[in-house]
Amino acid sequence: MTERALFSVALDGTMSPAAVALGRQLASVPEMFRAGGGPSDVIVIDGSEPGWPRRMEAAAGRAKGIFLVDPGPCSSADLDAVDAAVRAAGTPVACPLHLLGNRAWEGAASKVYADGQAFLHVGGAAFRRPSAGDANPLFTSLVEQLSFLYPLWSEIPELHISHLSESQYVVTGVRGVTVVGLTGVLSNSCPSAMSVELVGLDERWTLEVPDLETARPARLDHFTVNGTTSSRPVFQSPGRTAWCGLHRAMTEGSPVQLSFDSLTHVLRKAVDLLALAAATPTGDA
Amino acid sequence: MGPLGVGLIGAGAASQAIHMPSIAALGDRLRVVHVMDPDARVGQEVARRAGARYSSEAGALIEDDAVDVVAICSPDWAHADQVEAACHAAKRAILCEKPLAKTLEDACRIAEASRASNVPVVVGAMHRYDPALVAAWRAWSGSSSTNVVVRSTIWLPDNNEMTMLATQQFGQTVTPGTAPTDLSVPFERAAALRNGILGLAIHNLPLVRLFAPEVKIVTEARWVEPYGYAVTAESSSQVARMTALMPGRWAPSWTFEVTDAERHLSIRFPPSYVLSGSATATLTDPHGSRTWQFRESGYENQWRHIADLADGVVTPEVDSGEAVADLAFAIDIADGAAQHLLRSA
Repeated sequence: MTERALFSVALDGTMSPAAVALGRQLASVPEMFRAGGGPSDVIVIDGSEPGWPRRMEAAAGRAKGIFLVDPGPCSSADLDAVDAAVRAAGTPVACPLHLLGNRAWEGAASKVYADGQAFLHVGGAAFRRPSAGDANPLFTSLVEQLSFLYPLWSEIPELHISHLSESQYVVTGVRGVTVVGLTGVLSNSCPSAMSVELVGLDERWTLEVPDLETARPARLDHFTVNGTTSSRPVFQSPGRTAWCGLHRAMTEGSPVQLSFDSLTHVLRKAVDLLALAAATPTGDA
Repeated sequence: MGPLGVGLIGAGAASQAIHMPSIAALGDRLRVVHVMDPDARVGQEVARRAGARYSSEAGALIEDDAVDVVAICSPDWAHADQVEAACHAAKRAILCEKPLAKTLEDACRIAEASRASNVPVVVGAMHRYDPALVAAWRAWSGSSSTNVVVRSTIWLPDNNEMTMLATQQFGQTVTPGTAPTDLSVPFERAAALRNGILGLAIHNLPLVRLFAPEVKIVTEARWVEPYGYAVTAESSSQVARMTALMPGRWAPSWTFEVTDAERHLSIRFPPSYVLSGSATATLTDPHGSRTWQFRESGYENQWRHIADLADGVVTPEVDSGEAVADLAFAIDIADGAAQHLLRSA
């Protein structure tokens, strides 16, 4: 049996709301990561806390890996600085992404990216249940959705806010022949969940993640003229998937789901979109 | 007393695939007795199949005393005149296909004719009569709703695929998006978008108005070739995003979702033309989920309602005033979308 590299993990700050979830995730990878126990190999950064880029910049030089949770809005200068620090240190950074990082999506992704130009509609919805520890729920939803779009075109298309309120947004745009539409909603109705659809005339895909906090499997369906193929359910939480990805990055040099460079690009776009919208009154209020 | 006589004005796909089988399912109460179509070849064949009379003029059908209920499945521009004539002839009920009219003026004429004659006019908005939608709306409307988000998503294959599954259609169905139009001309594109909204989104716009009546400002409007759209309309606390595409080479999908601060309603409608039962509606709140699904389709439930109206045992579920308001809402969205598209061209 091959001996696996075991890394110690430290939480940056209190991370009280996320600590339970993190503890559960770490307990599911006991031969890869272990909380505490000497000098920390991996530092977990709570991105919902203001100033996370500065803390992450400091961590980049001393950690072998960084686990970034729910990065919140920050300035472009801060993102430049932390991106440069991470790049200089060569530190792998994993960020749990429920759509892009979903195991159900892994197998389909390369085929879909190859077909990206053929889709006429790409869109989805993110439903988030408000909670005390969720500092930037709409921003986090938008980052998840933009992260999913990014690999489709290796960039994020030009997008606009078509609707924004305290509990909803609709972001729309066009990239070539593809119409993009992303909806975000805060609601107590059901568990936080997300879905995305990619629709062309010959094929369409739907990915539905029914619960962001558990290992309830995503549903991936591929619709073609020959019928519908559903992926095999994978009962693994996106958080555990991200930890496994970080371990591979640290031991094998494998790329993580979304490079930190790309993630900073996504974060900039999300900040720009929401800031732009904040300056533009909408609706009939 | 025998079944009520139904006269079909227009013998195309809707009459053959939808109305004739739905009426047949209520054979003890309704029977097709007269078919009118300007295309004699189609009209005579459809009439022969139903064992009904054939006319090439709507007037002859409306004057036929054997016709108690008139189903108007003609081109949109003809609806107002035909509804008025049927009201003046004191028919017992009228089904008018959607959209009720292409202008608000025509819709108001229809409402006035219905009011003056006391003849109920039902718009062929089958989703509004889908038993699953009706049950879900009853549950939803019981409490107040804030911060409403509506998502209407329609992905459809070629219409012929569905009509061929529903009937042995005589004559051809013209599939939207196949007519040659120069969509590089902004005005043509805007007109295509407006027609797309009044032709396809019209199925769900009465539902959008039901759940998010305040949305009126169009903030996104795009035409998607060969036939589809993406439209967002909002108010300060409500937003509706409507998307559609056809004809795809995959399975159909027709969903309507509503989310507010405490509830999420997901409705999966069957595609048009086929009588495959009701939609499946699931209402979720923090306490759990409830799902509704029934054997009867929206089409059949609508015809049952028309028979009840004609027999005078119920009042209209959607009266003509509401029907006009539904159309005004749809026209506002369609016009707003066309203008938005022209502005951004």
